[in-house]
Formats: sequence, structure tokens, C-alpha cells
Amino acid sequence: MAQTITFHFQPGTSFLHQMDPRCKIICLALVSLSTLKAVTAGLLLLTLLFAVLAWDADLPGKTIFFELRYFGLFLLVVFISNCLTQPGTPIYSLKGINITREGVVEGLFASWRLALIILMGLLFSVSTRPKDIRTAIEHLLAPIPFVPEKRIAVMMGLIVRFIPVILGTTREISDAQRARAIDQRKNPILRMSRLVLPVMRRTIGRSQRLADAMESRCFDENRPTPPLKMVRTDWQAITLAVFFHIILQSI
Amino acid sequence: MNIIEISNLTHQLIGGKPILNNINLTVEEGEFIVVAGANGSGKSTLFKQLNGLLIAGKGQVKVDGVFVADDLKRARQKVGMIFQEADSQIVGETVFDDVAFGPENLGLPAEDVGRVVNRTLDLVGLLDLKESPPHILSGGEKRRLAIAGVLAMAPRIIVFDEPFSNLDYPGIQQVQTQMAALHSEGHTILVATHNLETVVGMADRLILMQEGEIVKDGPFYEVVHFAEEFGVYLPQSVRSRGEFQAWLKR
Repeated sequence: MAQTITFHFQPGTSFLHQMDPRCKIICLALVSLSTLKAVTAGLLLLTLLFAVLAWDADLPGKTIFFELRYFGLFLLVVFISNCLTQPGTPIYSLKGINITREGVVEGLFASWRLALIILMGLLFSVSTRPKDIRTAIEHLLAPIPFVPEKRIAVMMGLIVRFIPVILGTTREISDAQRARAIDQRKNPILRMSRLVLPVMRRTIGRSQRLADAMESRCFDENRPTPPLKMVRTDWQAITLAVFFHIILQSI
Repeated sequence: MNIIEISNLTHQLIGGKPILNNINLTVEEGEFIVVAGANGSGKSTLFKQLNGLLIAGKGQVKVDGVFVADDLKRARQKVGMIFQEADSQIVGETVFDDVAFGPENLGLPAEDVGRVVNRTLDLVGLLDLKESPPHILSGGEKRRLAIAGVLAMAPRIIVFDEPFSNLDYPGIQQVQTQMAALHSEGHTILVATHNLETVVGMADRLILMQEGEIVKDGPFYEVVHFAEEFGVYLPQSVRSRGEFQAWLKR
């Protein structure tokens, strides 16, 4: 069995699970925009919002921290880079490298904001079936002229489906090469090319087989888009998100 | 009644030698046929003609009385294809979505799609996993999902291309069980495999292919003894004791 990965749908009956996926995408965009500019009060408010929604969606805290451990490293890098690059009052110096008070504060805020955006994304993906995300994007892109919304939606669905498969292939090829002492080659570009080329070759071969499989199951790009219906609570949620956004911008 | 009729079929790439050469074949409804042959003998190319994935330059293929090339959608609904590599066949982000892919393409209303998908998943024993992403399934489960994806389109003929490759013993058993159940329900089954051992006891008829031609065609237990002549391993279970000892000494 392959490993379960972060950001996949978990069935449930929470408020988020019942929301229209288009509404969730709009709210996620608004909340993310709000997060980018928010300071202490706003971030506290957004953290509280996340906690309430996560509790309602039955998302265990332990799982969140376990699944997001790699993002933790990324946040640490963001924090450290802010600490070292922001000008201001030095609180620690070593061989000409200064850690500034402003850098620490800015690093904490930047990490907090990014963490919130990632966590909101996690909430969105655990509460939305991938097919609904695809349908929502199809609906949202439909009014825009010259945008092939159906093709984009199919491509997105296939990307979600095939990322784990391509990662598995990459791991398999990498293991096979390490078993034949690729680690002994010092040139990283050569090592990378030895990995990338076979992965691409296998991915292209697989895409041909995928096209055959889709064709054999009567795939038609112009198949009807499944209907979606916004209810009153969806409109209320969007109104609240807009209101939240305006308030946080003005704080 | 013949459900498949192939006459004088030749498939050739430009400038190359024929991949299929003057194939003539009829299949009766409800038969369980195994097509065996060494790599490159033309088994997969032959199967792709049934579903209209490949259209040969010469000859004709009829499925249920209609030329495949004249109505591809009908042919693809009648002939369900299960490919060698299940991972490349699964297109949905969840088990449910994958099985729904075919019925949605056929234009079924959403409520009917849901009903068909649930019934099909129940049939292959994957109903509990319907919200799971396909990459977490085992090899046998993926193959069963591929079968479900095809069954949801209600085909009359089911074509399996090397269905046992890369499967462990429980996975092989799961696929065998599905095949036997489908056959007993009246589906026509065609299987391409190197491993005849896995279809002993199920197949009615065996077709041996070599270099794009049908070289032997007849009842399974008669034709199977010619398998080794054409690069296919003879199952131990059909060797006589004397044959087996001679084979061991060899």
C-alpha cells in the first residue's frame, strides 16, 4: 500500500463539507488575501476561525501536525531568512551576521501567515471531494471567454490523480539507481539527469496508455458539467468572508 | 450467435512488417477465450481493434453485428477493456469518481451514475473504499477498480490484457474470482496472458499467436499442449507426469 498523503478528502457532515465548492474557493481566496495583510489581532481572529472550522470538520490536531511536518521545515526556513535579512536593531551578532529584533518579529508574522494559508488549504481539501473542486473550477471559469474550462478541469483532475503515481515512479527509479551506486557520482547535474530522463520517459509512456484508457471508456471533452447549487448559507458565508476581509484590511 | 467477427484483418505500421496478418476469428457470445503468445505476437494490437482504439487498414471487425469503425461509441460501450497496467487506466481522483467516469461519458443522469457506481463497487467488493484516492489501493484492489470502471458501462464483452502481471497471489485470486463471476453472468471474456496456469479451469478456448498470426485455435485442453512451440509456458497442472519429468530433465 502506498503512503497516504496530505490534502486529501475525508468524508464528513460538517458545515464546510456541506458548503458549495465554488463558495469555498471564493472564501478561501478572500481569507488568504486577508491573511497576507493581517497583523496580530487579525491573525488571532483568523487562527480562531481556523480552530473552530477544524473542530467542526473533525480534523484531529495530532493529524494536522503530523501531516504538515514538512511544511514546518519550510516555515522554519522562512523564519530564519527573515531573521537574517531584515535590517534593524541587532539582538545577536556572529561574524558579521546580525539577527535583528525586527527580523524576528517579521519572521514570526510571515511564518504565522503562511501556516494559516496552508492550514486553510488543508481544511478546504479535506472537506471537498476532488471531483467537486474540478466541477467548481469548471463553473468559475465558464464565464471567462477563450478559456477552455472543461479541458483545464480534466487536466487538474488528472494532475491530482497522477502526482502520487509519478512520485512513486521517481522513488522506484531513484532506489534502483542508488542500488547501483549512483551516490558515488559526485556531479549533481549528472545524477539529476539520470533520474529525470527515465522518469519523463515513463511518464510520457504512461500518458499514452492513459489516453487509450480514457478513449476506451468513451471520453468526450464536451461532456455536461455536473450542476452545483448555492444555498442561503453559502451566500451568508461569502458575505461574512467579504466583511472579514474588509475589517482585516482596515485594522 | 457470433458476438465478434473479424475477417481478413491486417494491421501494419507505415513501412513496417504487419503486426497483425490476415486474422480471421469469430467469437460466440458467452465464450471464455484465452489468447496467448510471446511478446510482440500481436495480442494487444488485436484487442485494441475490438474497442476501436486501433483501426486496421485492411479487413473488418464487427461487434454484435455492427462494424466497429462505423460506431466507435457503441463498440466501446459493448467491449470493455482492462489494460495491463491498472495504474494507467484509473483516471478518477477517488474510487467513486473513477467508476463514474464511463457512465458520465455515456451521458447518464447524475442519480443513475450514483446508483450504477455503488452497485458496481459492491459487486467488486470496493464499496467501503469509494471515497479513497486510488493510489492507496493494493495491486489487486487497483485491478478490481479497473474492472469496476469497465463494468459500470455494462459491456457484453470484457477484454483483459495481461490481467495478472505484477500481482501477488491474493491479487491473482481476486481477479480470477471476478473473471469467473463475470463469465457465469454471461459476459464474453477474452484474456491475453503469458501465464496459462492462471486461467486453467476457466477458459473454454485457447488461441495461440505468433508474429501477428493465429497459429492454433481450439478447445483449451487440446491447444494448450502446443503452447511451448509458440513461446508460451505450458502450465504444470496440464502436463502429464511423464511430460513433467522430461521437462525437468531438460
